[in-house]
Amino acid sequence: MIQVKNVTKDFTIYKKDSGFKGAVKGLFVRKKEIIKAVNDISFEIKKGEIIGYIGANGAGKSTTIKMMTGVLTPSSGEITVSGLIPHENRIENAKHIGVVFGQRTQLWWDLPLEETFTILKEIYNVPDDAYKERLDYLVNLLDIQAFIKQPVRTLSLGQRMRADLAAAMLHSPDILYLDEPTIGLDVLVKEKIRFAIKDLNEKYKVTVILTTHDMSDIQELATRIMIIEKGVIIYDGSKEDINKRFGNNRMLELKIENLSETLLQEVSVMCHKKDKKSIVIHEDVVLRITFNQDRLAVADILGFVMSQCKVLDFKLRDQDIEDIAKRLYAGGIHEEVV
Amino acid sequence: MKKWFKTYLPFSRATVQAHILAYPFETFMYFFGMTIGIFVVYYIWKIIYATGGYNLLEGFTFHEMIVYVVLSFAAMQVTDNGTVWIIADEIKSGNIIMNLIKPINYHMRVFAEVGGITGFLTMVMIFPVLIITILMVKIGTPITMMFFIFSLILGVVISFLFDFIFGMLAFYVKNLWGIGFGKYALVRLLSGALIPLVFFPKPIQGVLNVLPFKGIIYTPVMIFLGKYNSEEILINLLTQMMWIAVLGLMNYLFWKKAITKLTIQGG
Repeated sequence: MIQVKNVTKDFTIYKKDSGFKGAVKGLFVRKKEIIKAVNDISFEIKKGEIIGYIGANGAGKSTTIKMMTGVLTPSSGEITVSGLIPHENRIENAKHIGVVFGQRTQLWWDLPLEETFTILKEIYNVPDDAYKERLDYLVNLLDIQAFIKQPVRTLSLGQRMRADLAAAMLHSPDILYLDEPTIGLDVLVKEKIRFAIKDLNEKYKVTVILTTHDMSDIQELATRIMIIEKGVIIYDGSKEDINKRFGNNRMLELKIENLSETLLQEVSVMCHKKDKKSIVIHEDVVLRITFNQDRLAVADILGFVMSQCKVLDFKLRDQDIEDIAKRLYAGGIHEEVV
Repeated sequence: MKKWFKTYLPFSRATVQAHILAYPFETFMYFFGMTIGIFVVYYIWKIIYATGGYNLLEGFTFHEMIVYVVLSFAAMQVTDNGTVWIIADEIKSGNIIMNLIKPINYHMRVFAEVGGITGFLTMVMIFPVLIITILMVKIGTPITMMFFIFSLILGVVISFLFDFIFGMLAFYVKNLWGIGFGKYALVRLLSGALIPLVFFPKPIQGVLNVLPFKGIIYTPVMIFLGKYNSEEILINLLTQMMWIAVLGLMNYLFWKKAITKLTIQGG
């Protein structure tokens, strides 16, 4: 359905020196710098997939989406969406996609929400009966009825986001691009939005490309995960395989009576002997060990620590996407992968 | 054509609706400002004619001059419709993206919105002014009236296309404030909104005759005043149409180039 082949997008930015002097200087000489927002990425997306597209701020997620929607033109490479080249056939492509940018809205600010829906119906040329059916479905799904007559500017962020999602789906698009649709929302609204996305995907086989910083969005929705870092896709695969790719890590948390420097040293040495990349840190009386369970067994650590001191409590946890994302955003994962 | 209206008319409707709902006071103040402006210019001309003892100034009687003032004011309101700011603001804020993801032509959409407001203002303000003017001065046959309206519509289109080119500069310079005001002053002067173009020195008039600005205000108003014979009307209308074609082509080429340079600011 979507093919992206060796796509690169450069942005030229002009650097100015700081301060008043720099500003004046900037009028005459500008330093040019080319930034590769997206660097030679390739992937394919099939109908009905829900892609969780993650990466730190500025990693290139939004740029990729903007190219797929036809708004931005790739500097090089090819994109086809349902057989069309989006930036050359922007209008035709737009008929078959729905887009939500969490930070912006496509609703008419000063008009009652209902009016926006009517206007969209006309713009997208939706037949009357199809429109009615679709609107009923979306109003129910996203619980919009209560505020449908209110001007958009009076809506809360959660209401607005639900309305935006409905607006993006009114014309029954095949593909839904969601760029941070849950940004700034409370847990209940997030739940509602997630449920809606799932329902749309199951009932209408809508293909969803979702970017988010909320890993529970990904955990609940994504059938496939793509991770982009500094413009390069460093992971593309299933949720389950992600642990294999980024090391089968676990975290052991131990609460210890009289945690001493020497003990910390000894544990650290013991762990490093078997797993060079294990991390031992401590906070007050809590010892936190992150390790790869293929190299280091939990029993070994526990046995060793318990022979040295009194353990008051312990917790064992598998690494989840959240942890991976944290390491990723901190920039630590790259060398592990390469 | 029918489909075109169905797609773009909602934009006109929504804009007008939002305008009336949200800014009734602004609409009133707009009318108020225009009235004051007209009075100021009226008294300036009155003093000029009185102190100079003119019966005829560059071919204008005092009576005609006042009609010129009122009509050029009204025409300025219709043709200067903030297109530059709409486009510049959308490019600058990045909100242009919310329109680019819809199956619509961007030019057409902005035109539909601007046209909606213009149409609305025409109905509630310009029409009354026009009717009063016609009743007061009793000049112009129905035929010249028709030519006047047609020419004014062409003027609106010229102004829109010109503004649009200016607005697209926001793709390159990130703040259009200064340039926008410069443009406003220039258009007012060169289109005849401030003084009739016959007041300019002859060589400059020659230049102004071939520039597009004349077609925005001066041409329709002069047609209304009956200052043109049928041949001149024809030449002037053709000049207007030629400029629409030229500016339209420039828009097309500029847009095609600028859109590839688009960077969406702010996420």
